[in-house]
Amino acid sequence: MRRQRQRHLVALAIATLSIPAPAAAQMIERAATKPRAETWQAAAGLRTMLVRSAGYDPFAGNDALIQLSLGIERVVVRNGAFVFAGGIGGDYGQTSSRARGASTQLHAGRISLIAEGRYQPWERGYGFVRFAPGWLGMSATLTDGSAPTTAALQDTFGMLSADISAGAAARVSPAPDPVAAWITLEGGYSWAGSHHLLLAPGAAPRDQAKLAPLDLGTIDPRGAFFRLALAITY
Amino acid sequence: MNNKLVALALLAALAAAAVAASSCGDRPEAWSQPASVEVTFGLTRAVAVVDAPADRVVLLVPGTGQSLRIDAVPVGRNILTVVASPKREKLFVLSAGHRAKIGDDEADEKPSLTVIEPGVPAQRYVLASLTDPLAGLAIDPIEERWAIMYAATGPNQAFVQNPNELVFLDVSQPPETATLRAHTLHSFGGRPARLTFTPTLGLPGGDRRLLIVESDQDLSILDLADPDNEISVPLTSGNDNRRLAPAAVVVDDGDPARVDDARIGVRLQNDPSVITLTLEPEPGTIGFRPTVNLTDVGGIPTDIAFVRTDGGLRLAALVPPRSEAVLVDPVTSLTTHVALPARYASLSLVTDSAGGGAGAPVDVALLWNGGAATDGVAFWELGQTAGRPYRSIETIGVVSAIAAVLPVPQHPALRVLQTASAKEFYVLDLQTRTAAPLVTSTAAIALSMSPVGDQVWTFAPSGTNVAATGILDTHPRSLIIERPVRHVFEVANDDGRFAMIVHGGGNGGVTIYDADTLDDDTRRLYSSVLTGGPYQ
Repeated sequence: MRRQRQRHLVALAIATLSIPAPAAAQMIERAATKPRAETWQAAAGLRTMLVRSAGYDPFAGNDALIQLSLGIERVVVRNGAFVFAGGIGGDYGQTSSRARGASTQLHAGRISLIAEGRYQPWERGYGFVRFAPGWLGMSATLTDGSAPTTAALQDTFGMLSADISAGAAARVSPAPDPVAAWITLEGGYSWAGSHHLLLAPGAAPRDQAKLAPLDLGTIDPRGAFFRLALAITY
Repeated sequence: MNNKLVALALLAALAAAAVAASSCGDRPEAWSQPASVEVTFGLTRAVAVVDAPADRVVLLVPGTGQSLRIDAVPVGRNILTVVASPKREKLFVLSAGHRAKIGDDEADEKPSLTVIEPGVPAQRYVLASLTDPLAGLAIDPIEERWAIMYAATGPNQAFVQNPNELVFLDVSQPPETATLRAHTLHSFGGRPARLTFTPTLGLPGGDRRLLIVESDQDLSILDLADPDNEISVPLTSGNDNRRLAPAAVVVDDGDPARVDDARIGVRLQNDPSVITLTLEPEPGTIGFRPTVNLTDVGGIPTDIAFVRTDGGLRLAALVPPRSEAVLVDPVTSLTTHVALPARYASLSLVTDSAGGGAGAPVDVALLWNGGAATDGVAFWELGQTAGRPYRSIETIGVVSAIAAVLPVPQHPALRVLQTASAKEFYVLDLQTRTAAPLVTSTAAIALSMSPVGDQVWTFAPSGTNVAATGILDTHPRSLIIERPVRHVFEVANDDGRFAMIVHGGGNGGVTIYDADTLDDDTRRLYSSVLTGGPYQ
């Protein structure tokens, strides 16, 4: 008798597991697996810009300027698959070379405001366009044995800049996680003003009038760029 | 999961494409080449630095307020030879060009001669008929009209070369119309070593200029107007079959009213003789032929000059081993030996200032470059040679051997004497026959003369001492110099007169002083003057 009762319980259990769940319960379960609508995004990556300007030649063996990129954005508007986000970003890089035997360095740092529109038709990927106006600060130095002092010749300057770019992002983390990881790749054009490079020797103010700057012509730090980044959204 | 891998692969491919694209666009190769101010020329209006690795000449043009304009003048690739014009207004740059082989990334380029003059667009003469470079270059010092190229010895020469081929280029013509004219010397086996351009000589058949080409065993005389008119003279000893090697030539036009007395004097490297060639009339295309006289002077001469003495025209030869000068009558080959108080090896004619002036019937020579430290200089009065030649020498109390005598522009009565020890120098007044000494604190000094002639620049190469000494008052003024000095030039242009102190090390620097005031407060220092482009 007991053995028969046990068979009935097993059969009930199997039946219970095999019975389809009610429709309402199905909807709740699907809502739980949909990715959460992340609000914040922080990204870090590498940005490579092609500077074709002849004024860049003393500082690099080729036209590439590689920078570290950081950015943080917040979703401002979400409408279905369309998202608009705003944020701030920064790029910093340096390049060094030898110009006719003299050692040279160029530092380039950029801070910008980000306005980004996204279209996300899939959970695991989206495309975006971005506009990022900002301020580009640069410092060019040259160290040469012909300088009147041991200090390097230097020119520090800044200018307005703006990036316009488009790209795509692919989610690489599991969908249910509240914190998601994305790989983004974008390409675009970075515009900045021109600057006439005049590298002045370091000296006391009273001696500056006697020391002529080194004229290296005009640098135009603008050109196409690519950025590969890892973004975290929450 | 597969979708994720596809996405990652796509991203990786795009990243690789980005990196590949970023590696494009290398800068010109010259940026990676070192720069040096080692080969620098002081022109009248600018300083020219030959930047051979970048195939260019950099002109440093000073301006108002000691400003500096840097003009990079591109020249033909692979610079062979650079020569400043005798008047120092132009620079001639001979380039080999480049012969591009199949698959060569660099374009083919013919040999070329670039003529650079500050303030004037450079002219490039493409030497299209030459395949292999001729590295020898001689510039006509009088008219600066003729540039003559010839084969030079040394590495990187052509597989087959004709050492006796001279290529004439008339640089008074623009590059569009100038043509090359090649002429092969009637060689007796030698190859050209030195080219001498004569002034206009009164010759049978008309006044003309000659080109005298010395080889290691013969002498060729060419009509500059028509190089095919050539006479070659083999130089042989009268006593044996030795080939005589010329060491230098001098020219004298003789009596301006006559056309049959122009003469060429030759001293030899390997024989105690001097040769005189009198250019006498002869029917034929060239109109003259040289009559050769070989005269033994008792020792290998170190310097020669045609001089006018109280006995007539003579070829004077200095023979230091015998401490004497020998006067050779070019007509009779008779000699007069004049004992000298020292072993003077060099002479200069100073008749204009120390003698009777221009057109004087007899010359006065300055003797210098003696062997001992106390030899100094001496005046040689050539009006007293016939009777008592031993009375014709007057020594000056200079207690150093003189290595060079520098003329002073606009002051014909003055000379600057550079000593062999290079620890002092003298300002010699030819009229009063006095020599003012100027002593330096370091040895191995170098001198540079102001083109205006009012001061002489003294500096220690690789040191930081530069001084300007007034020629008339012999008052020295030192300059403040921050970097080791390689060259010192004085440059004058429409903006003023400037002292250009060129610094070696690194990519070259220059300190510019106002050469009139020498005011330290208004000097300007420029660094890395060879760094900037553009580059080809």
